[in-house]
Amino acid sequence: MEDKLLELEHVSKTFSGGKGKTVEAVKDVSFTVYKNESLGIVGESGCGKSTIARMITGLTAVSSGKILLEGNVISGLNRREQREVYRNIQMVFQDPYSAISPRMPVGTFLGEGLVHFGIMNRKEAEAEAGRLLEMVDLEPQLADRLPHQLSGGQLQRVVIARAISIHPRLVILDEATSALDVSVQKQILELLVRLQKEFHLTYLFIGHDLAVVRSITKQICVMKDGRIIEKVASASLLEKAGENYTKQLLSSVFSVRE
Amino acid sequence: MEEILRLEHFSVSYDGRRAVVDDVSLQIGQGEIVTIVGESGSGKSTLLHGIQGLLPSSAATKGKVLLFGQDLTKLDAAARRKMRGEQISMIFQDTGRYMNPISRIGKQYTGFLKQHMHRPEDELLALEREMLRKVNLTDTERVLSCYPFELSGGMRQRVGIAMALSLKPKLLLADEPTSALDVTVQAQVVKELAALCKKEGATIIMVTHNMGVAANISDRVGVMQNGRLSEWGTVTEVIREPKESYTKSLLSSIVELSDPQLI
Ligand SMILES: Nc1ncnc2c1ncn2[C@@H]1O[C@H](COP(=O)(O)OP(=O)(O)OP(=O)(O)O)[C@@H](O)[C@H]1O
Ligand SMILES: Nc1ncnc2c1ncn2[C@@H]1O[C@H](COP(=O)(O)OP(=O)(O)OP(=O)(O)O)[C@@H](O)[C@H]1O
Ligand SMILES: [Mg+2]
Ligand SMILES: [Mg+2]
Repeated sequence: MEDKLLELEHVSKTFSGGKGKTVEAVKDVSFTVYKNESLGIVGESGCGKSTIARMITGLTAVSSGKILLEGNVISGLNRREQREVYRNIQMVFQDPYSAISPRMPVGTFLGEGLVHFGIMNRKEAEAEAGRLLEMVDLEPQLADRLPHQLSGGQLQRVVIARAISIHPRLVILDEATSALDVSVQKQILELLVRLQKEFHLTYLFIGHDLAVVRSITKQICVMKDGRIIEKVASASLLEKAGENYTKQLLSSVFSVRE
Repeated sequence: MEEILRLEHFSVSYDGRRAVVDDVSLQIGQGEIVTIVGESGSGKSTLLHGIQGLLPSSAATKGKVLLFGQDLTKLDAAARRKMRGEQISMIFQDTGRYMNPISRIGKQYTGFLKQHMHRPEDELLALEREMLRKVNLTDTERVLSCYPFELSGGMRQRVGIAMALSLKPKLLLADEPTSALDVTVQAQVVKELAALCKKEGATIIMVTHNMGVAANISDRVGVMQNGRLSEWGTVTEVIREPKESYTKSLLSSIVELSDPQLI
């Protein structure tokens, strides 16, 4: 059974910054994400990974090509149509500080999605905030803090908790665990695996740590210079990697093992 | 080896709460690469900001920070600013937050250099290009003409690294300098940092979550937990033969390529 959740068909993105600054950030990218089968994207810094994520979530318009969610085209929707769709797609960014307004207590931020989509009223959402914090191993008392009063890693856990709070179908994680220490990262990865089973979530997991991306995905797309140059089954990444660039990525990993 | 930095019972607390850097003492020699690993929220960034004197006004410190024997906690704001340009440079964990969002990279870079060196503009520009190439931002003209939001996360981080390296600091404090970089670029940046130490005799204190990087480039490794420096020693002592249970648990949490998948 092949249940398609997300499809990209020949998607490209060109940024035109004027003065000959045109950048082809994403070039003719196609891939399919199946339900409950998380997909990883790895590749060079600047190769277009975040741009793909932003196009899927409608933050950046596609220049050409189509994006489909469960068979329905979601690229090029108007704002009202977007709202329903994007309840099903949540995104966790690279920099947690950019996700929260600096003056908003994290408790309010956590309940925002629940209130926005009419799942809970403000009071219920406030109570839920404490539970969400505990879900990602933070003290419920942190709800009163402002973003800059949390460490980068703590704040990223808050952002992940909020994304998952409204039980979306697809969660895009863009370098979401890069700011976490290895033990918290491992906890978050295990948490993501648990939540995936519990809520039938599917992840699009973007990262530069190949070992981490491999650990929780079924397939990995390797990108270079705006294109997908290789798709490999995560389980056999080491044995099956064919492209030179992929091999170079694998051999550049710093290991603690001698 | 000549001592460059010494912390004596250094503590930092915010808003009168419990210390988040708690009684840290350590000694670092010139030319050493020191990495600090540990729990998120354990006080690593606060420690670096404290050494630099860049803490917010809600923070209070105790103890001493001695750079070449001079206690930095005793300096006034002007003396600190001067020292930051000439002796200490910092690479921030989230470079983007410290950039002006509505000013082009080139303008910010030149402005930054002008604060610290008096050289003609074309020399500054040549230096900018040279440093950007060193962190593998080869399309230097485009990068310089971009606004911060027009760069990817890893590109912004590398601009921050290039800026900090341009001043050839005696002491470089680097907070997660490679956390947003893919592994090939990470390897290159790590090589550049090591070269700075070798060629210029600089000392680096680097916070990282990447235990692999720590294991491969450090002379010394510090492990922070809950504000305290729970373990401190050479790579062999801390990473190969750790004594503390927390260090052991960190090491066992590392996800390696050859591990079984979690799903
Ligand atoms: N809003 C924008 N305007 C102009 N150019 C942009 C914009 N956003 C991204 N770019 C350019 O598009 C390219 C791809 O950027 P993107 O952020 O997708 O890379 P990435 O793969 O996520 O990199 P990283 O691993 O560093 O996060 C880069 O060259 C970047 O400079
Ligand atoms: N400006 C601030 N006001 C109040 N508390 C703060 C402030 N900055 C940090 N803290 C708190 O101090 C503690 C240490 O934070 P710090 O940012 O130094 O941790 P870290 O080790 O760098 O973590 P990470 O690995 O997640 O970046 C955390 O509990 C954090 O919530
Ligand atoms: Mg990115
Ligand atoms: Mg930090």
